[in-house]
Amino acid sequence: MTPWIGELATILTWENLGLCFTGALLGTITGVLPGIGPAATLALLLPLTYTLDPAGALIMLAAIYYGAQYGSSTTAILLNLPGETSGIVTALDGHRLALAGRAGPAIAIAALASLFAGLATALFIALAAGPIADLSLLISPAGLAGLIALGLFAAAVIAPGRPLPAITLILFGACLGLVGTDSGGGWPRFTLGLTELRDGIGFMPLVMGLFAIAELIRALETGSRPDRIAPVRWPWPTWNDLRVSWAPTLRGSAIGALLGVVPGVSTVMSALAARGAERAFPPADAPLGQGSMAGVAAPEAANNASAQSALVPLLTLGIPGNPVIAVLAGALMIQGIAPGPSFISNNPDLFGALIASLVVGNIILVILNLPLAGLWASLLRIPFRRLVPLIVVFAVIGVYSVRSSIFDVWLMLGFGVFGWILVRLKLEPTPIVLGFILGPAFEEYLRRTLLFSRGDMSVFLTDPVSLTCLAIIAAGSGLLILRARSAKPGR
Amino acid sequence: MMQHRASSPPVWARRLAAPLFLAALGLAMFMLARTQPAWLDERIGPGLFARWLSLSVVAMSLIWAIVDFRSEDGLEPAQSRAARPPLSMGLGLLAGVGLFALALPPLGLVIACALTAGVVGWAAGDRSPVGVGLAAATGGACALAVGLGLLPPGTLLWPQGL
Repeated sequence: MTPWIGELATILTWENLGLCFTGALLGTITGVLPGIGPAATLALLLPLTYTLDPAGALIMLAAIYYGAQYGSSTTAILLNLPGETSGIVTALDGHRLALAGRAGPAIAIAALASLFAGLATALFIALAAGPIADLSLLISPAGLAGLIALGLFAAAVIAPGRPLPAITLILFGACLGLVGTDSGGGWPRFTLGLTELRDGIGFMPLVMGLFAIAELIRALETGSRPDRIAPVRWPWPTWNDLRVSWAPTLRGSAIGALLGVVPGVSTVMSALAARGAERAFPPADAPLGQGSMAGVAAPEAANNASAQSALVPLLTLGIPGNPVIAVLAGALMIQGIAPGPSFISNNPDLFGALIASLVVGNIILVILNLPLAGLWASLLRIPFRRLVPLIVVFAVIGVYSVRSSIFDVWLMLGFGVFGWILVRLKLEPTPIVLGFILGPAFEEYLRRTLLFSRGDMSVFLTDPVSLTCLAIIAAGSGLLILRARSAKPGR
Repeated sequence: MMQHRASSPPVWARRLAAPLFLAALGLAMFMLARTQPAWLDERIGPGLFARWLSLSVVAMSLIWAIVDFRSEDGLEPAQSRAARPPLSMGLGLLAGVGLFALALPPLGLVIACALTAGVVGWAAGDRSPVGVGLAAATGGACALAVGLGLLPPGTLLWPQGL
């Protein structure tokens, strides 16, 4: 724990504080806008970090990430229209409070619950990540391949919607991740003879096409804003609000921090679990669903804690547990930072900077969110159609500037079309990003395993970690099939 | 009579469109993967994992198609033509991105972004000349600010020779 305390001093330079503040501010502004989730926010603002050193880039990316998480709760409370999915849970009580003229206190409680959860989870990551990373260094390549497969299976099964489409899209994303020169023998693969594809599909064109372009089209086609936005008055809770919120905040933080570590568990599931747990503790102010502060505090704490603790599998195993973390992983790779079992031991300074950034950034976000709640509300009054051209301009500049490549812009256009088709087919494009990141990593571990075993596949059944993962996947698949059969009428 | 003519594809086609689309993509990937060796001596070659993955995409898509085809769950009712979102928004937005790629080499970043912002603004529903002009001006100004502040010095901001 000591190193990150030392890094707290490192981050407290004017430059790093400025980066943390800028990232939190931009993340909040973009996160407030409905239709642009944290993944697209990260991708859109990624070009801002190109010129920074790795520590500065990490600090800014982390600030953008949790800034976007914070911003979405304001939208959920004011509009009943979350900036990202976990806001749906906050909106259930938060929007009721806004309609009752208590938007300010609801936003304040959301911010304070998120602050507590953010600080507690930063401490949790500082304490837990190191030992987990040390353990993961003992895992064989076969075991790591098994863990990746288990992470992908969990992500597909637990994701909202049906598992079959999610699994298929993850596998297709993994195929896209293989495009380029094969790392084992230097063979071009899936390149269609195009030299531009020899380095693989760029992460930015993929993410911008699937998230920024396709999501914008979806928002334009389906989005409608309510005519009236609840006014934000004095954004400060009463003593009674604080009194009824502290226990739900504690419970939400614990639930979110623990669930977030499990690959595949999204922030919305943690928020739902925290709200579900509150049913066992009847709120003192109002019943859940009727404008209860506990219904704001618990899911917001769980959401923020889960968003941060989801960094643990990424930093210790190199497994991004959800699509937003996958985008963050891609962003780190563009910066030359490789998350994985040796990340913490090889980069103690970067790990320390990240933890320090979580602490400082969460404090900055409360400072930004409380006095400026009215400003965020006014941002929501800008017609969305006026913002779309600017978002697209930032997206095309971002994609072009990574490699100064017009080809990447065409690629982004292609993925935009593909994402739009998926949206029209009522499919979520997000699992593709998970597969894109993890497919090549899985192949690398598979290659190493088969190299050591001289092509003998039975090693996956003799390695204890790999065997356990395969057994869990088999049991999970069996349960899914049984559940699907028992759900049919007449059985 | 005209009203009885189906304005949307039949239910089975709507059920199967998504899985068959992905199965076709998986099959195309498999055909490409087959052109490469699965094994190089005792080492795995570039084709092995690529074949497994692409075949898995095809297999999962077909299972998904069978499950959906046999499913007794009702699909959402097909939207009427009037309720369907117009294609023009999406097409306009994509055209804006394509225009950027075409305009950037001859015209530079600022003008390409201004054109893109104008087209996208129109596609997003801002149909007045003032609105489109404002979107184009803002897009160009943003490109200038980003180009001068964040991009490498050699970035082409203006038309060549200007």
